[in-house]
Amino acid sequence: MKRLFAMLAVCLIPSCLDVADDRADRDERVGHAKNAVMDVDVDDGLACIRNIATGELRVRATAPLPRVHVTVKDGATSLLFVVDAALSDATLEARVPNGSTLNVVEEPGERPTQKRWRIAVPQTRAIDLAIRAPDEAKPGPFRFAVLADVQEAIDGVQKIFGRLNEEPDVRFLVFTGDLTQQGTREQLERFERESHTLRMPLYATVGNHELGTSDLPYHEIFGRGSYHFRFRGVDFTLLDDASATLAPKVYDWLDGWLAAGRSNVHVLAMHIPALDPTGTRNGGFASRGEASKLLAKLGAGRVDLTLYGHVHSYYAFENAGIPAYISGGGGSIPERFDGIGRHFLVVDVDPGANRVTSVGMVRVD
Amino acid sequence: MQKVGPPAAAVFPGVLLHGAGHWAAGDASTGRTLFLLEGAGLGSTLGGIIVLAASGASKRLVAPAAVMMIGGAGLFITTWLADVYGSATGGARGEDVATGAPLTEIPAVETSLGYRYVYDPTFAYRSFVTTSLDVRFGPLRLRPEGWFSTSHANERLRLLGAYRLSGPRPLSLDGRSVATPPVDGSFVDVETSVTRHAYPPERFTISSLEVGFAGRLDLRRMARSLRGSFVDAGLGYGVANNTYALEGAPSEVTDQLLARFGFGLYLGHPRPGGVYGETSIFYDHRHDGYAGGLKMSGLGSGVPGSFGARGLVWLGDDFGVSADAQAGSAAVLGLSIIVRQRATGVRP
Repeated sequence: MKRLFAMLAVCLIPSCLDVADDRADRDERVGHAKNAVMDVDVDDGLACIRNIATGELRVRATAPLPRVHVTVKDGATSLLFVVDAALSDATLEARVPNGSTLNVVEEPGERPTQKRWRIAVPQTRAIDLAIRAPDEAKPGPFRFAVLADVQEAIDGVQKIFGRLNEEPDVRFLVFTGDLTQQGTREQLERFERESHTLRMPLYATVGNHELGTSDLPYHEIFGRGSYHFRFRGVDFTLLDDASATLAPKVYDWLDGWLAAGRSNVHVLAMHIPALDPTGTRNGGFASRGEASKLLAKLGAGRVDLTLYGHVHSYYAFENAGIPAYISGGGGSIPERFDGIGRHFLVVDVDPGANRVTSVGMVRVD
Repeated sequence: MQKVGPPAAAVFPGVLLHGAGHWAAGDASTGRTLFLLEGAGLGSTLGGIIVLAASGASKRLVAPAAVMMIGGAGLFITTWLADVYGSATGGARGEDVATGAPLTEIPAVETSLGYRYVYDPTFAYRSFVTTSLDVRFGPLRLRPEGWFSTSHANERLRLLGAYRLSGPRPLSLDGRSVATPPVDGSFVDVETSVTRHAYPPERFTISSLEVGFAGRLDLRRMARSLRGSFVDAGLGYGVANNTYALEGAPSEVTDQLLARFGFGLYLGHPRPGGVYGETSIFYDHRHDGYAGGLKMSGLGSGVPGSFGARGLVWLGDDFGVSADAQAGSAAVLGLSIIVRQRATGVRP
């Protein structure tokens, strides 16, 4: 029996069942920092803090309208607030908490999606910063794009970004994972540099190829893997399912996000499809039971659209009655014999009519 | 040194050069066979990987590529374990040893009652009562089984039907053999099953239909040194219908490749009133059920199936105990008591 139990232990070691928990913990830490210079808290972690220096705060947004609370602790008299992945027409509203509006001076950014604002630090030293968009209260339709799976094809990504820039009226790009081949800091920074040519902000989640390095720098550079935001009456939920599962903590968050978006158009994006339409490939969740659990939850939460990457092709199908699209057209080894090639999606949503109007596939090559 | 050398050689360089243990013990013929099979396994696995990579995991080629990879991995792993076994028992040195022997006539009726603990971080259930009835009529087999959660409304009901093309069969109810007794425990079955797995709190049910083959090869057929060991294998295809307890949500059909392999040992020699059984370790490619597919940190999570081990010991003519463990998306540990109709497996 001793030998048997030893054998059982050997069999159980390779399977670490809580593989996504650490990343959920990292998510919680995104957007929060305290040091001798300033304290920073980003509501819902919707921006990651890239740099804090005397008189300067730099963040990368993971949503169009993040809100940031800053307490300046050193003697700086002004704060330069730099936001990467910002809407090109974004503006900043700065206030003393529960008090007066502060004067904001916009400085030129280095690219369309970088905004730089200078704010005079008030005597209270605390500032609430709210990024605004001129159309945020507009109820009409808008568009966003979807891309995934660039990985080793980074050298050719400018052609995709160029084609994306030609699409009219796209407010932002949702990137559903596998930005890089292994997720190293160097690869992630390269991807970010390449994305500077985009005229729209890119909001990403983690793909399995971001997990190829043990130090996992993704969250420091791109922010949370699982998060939720609302823009113009449409709810967006991005989930980190890069380990072919969701962390239990993410299920708890998801319950709240589904409740919040229940009466709105709700778009959910993640890297690995819950169920691969080609089941023999197992390009979905590790557990079919968990996949169905998630889909039942999304169905009950009245999600209107599910978007996935991971499979390097294009599939349109339904899961739990929810329209579903796999779009892995970023250039990494394409699925052969499908006639698809590099592509991205353009999604039209109409929050006024409470529906997703269309999901179109745009070929790049 | 004569006793230690071959098993040591089976471990290294045997982990790379399968058959090294037998070679070191002087059984070059078996060593060569294991080495060639290892090569075939590696070739098959690499071939599958190449097909997958070159086709971008095309839906048209992914199933045969996966079969090549799993089959190749099975050959690779089991030939190494066979080398270690034959070297460690002394069989490779020509000693007349084996860890055990199979039942060559199997019980007509087996019933089991057990407990299973399932740790799945994404589901609240943990404890299950499991039960099964295994009835054989000559080559035909029917096996209804059920898993019932003791704390949650979750249950899995499965009915397996099988036809034995070759291999051990049960005695008739009057104790006489109904067929020419086979020489060992090797068998080939064609199987089909229907399963209904209900998750009421999570509002869905998975119903599936599967067909496939399952088999065992006693390795005594390959080499005398490997008496007492066996490999198991299975290949099939399953379709599932997922239904959701949601207003207006249609059901959806999914499919999956069913493939498994294992390596095992017979423990003890069957005799009236004796203690004997078998144990094995296995890989199962299925992604449904409680174990699901393997979660891993890093890139490849979700694609492989689960790994496990099981053991069965008969404690006399009518009563046995089985234990099993499986690790995939969940860890599943279980213990069952088994009662068989009579000690039919032993010829006087």
